[in-house]
Amino acid sequence: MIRYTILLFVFVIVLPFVEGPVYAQGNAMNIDEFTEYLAVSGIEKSAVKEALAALVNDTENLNKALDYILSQNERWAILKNLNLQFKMLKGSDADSVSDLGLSYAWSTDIKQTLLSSTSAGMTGINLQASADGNVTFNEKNNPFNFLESSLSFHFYRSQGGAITATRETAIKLDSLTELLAMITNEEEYAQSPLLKELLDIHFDHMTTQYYLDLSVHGGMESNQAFTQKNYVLGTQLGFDLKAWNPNSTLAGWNVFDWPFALVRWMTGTDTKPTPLGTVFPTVLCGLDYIDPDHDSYRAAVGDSSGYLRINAETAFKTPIARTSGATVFLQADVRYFRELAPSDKVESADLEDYVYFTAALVSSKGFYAGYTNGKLPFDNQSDEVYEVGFVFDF
Amino acid sequence: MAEWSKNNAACLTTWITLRVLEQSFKVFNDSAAITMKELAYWNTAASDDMRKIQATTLAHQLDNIFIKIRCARYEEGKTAEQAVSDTVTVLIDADKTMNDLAAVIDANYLFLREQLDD
Repeated sequence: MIRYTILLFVFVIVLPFVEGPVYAQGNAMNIDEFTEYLAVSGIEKSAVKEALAALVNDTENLNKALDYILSQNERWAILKNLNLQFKMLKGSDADSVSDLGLSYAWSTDIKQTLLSSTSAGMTGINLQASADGNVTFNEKNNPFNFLESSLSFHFYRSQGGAITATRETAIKLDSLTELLAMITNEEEYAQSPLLKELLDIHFDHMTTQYYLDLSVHGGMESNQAFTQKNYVLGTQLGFDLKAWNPNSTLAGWNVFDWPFALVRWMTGTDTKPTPLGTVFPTVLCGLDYIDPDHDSYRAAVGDSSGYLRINAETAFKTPIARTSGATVFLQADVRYFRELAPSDKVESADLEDYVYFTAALVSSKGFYAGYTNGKLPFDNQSDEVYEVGFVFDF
Repeated sequence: MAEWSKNNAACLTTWITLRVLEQSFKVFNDSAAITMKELAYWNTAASDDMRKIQATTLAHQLDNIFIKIRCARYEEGKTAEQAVSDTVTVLIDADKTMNDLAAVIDANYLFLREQLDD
């Protein structure tokens, strides 16, 4: 069904924008009429169809059409927070093939209420809806075959981060900002005493920030063909910590960044080993009740009953070298899913837990070297993938 | 969309605050087209839930700095929760630019220089 939805989307909505000269002039015609029209001019039908096939597989053209459609906010208000992107997706197996895929992510705040806002922090509640996933024309070629849709209710608290400055301080900062904006050379900007003065004033007014998000959610996770499907009801806790003031004790005690502080010192980025308080790992953990409506892996081992699953994720990203032209980051993410009290059947089939780890060196100039190991729910095999490449933004 | 300009207080304050928060290190003239996925916080390996938590932390801190340190106010009819929510919506969109972020911030905050101009 997904395949036909994408085909319908491409031919009914996208192609008219891509094929502007023919479709946009009011003489709308279908593909067969279009090829007949060109055949009169001596252009072979097969050549036209080949060209159209290439066009449909050109993600750059398709994404331009998507951007055009989604930027028409008045016509497509319901799509305000929808991100769609065509991608060529390829699995990690040597014999896997590239396939055109559509990545989607949608999230919206249905209702939000601020419960309290003081100089110490902000507390509120929020009802959100979200959906995300990747689909391909041929499901077998989808290396990210996991779709999620959910409705969630959040209680959040942001504590700390800044203390109130005087109006004179704000005016001084505005003046420094205006002067710094005049600088056009990056080296001069980075070394500017004005920048140091501005940063010092800010840091004197910045404190450690804690962000806590507690939510309950209900939703569905599936593969793209919905042949495997879970209904999920659960709770999740997210925690983020930022010691924004680099002179704070907590920043110095970010042990997670100590090895990378040494690397920054050795690469000449920092003049002394200086751990960053802004790169503490962020943590998400939760407990879900899973109702496997259609889960062929579990059904195959004879256990389709509901079960409790804990999940946890932590993410970390820190700079390891910085020049005037580029910054190189180390980024990592690990996710863990474990079923509580699994049956013998599930355990013997190795379906009770999933671990997924990925780490990469990423340059702001586009270089990428990554390593991935593990599997996510609905993956039927564990992958170990090394990637080296270059990311271009057109 | 607002023009990226040194005469726009939202553009200037968004740009320098992202420097203060160690998210972007480019000079002002080269910053308009910087995308959210180029900011230091953007971890391509993380889940969407994780990225939203990190973006919300960042949005609250931008709000802290604008209101407490830069003495900005919310625009008439705007609220703190709306300002933070709008900022998060841009921050979690990989292809939105710093100019897009400044436009949303401009719509929600009245900066000191704008207050003095009134």
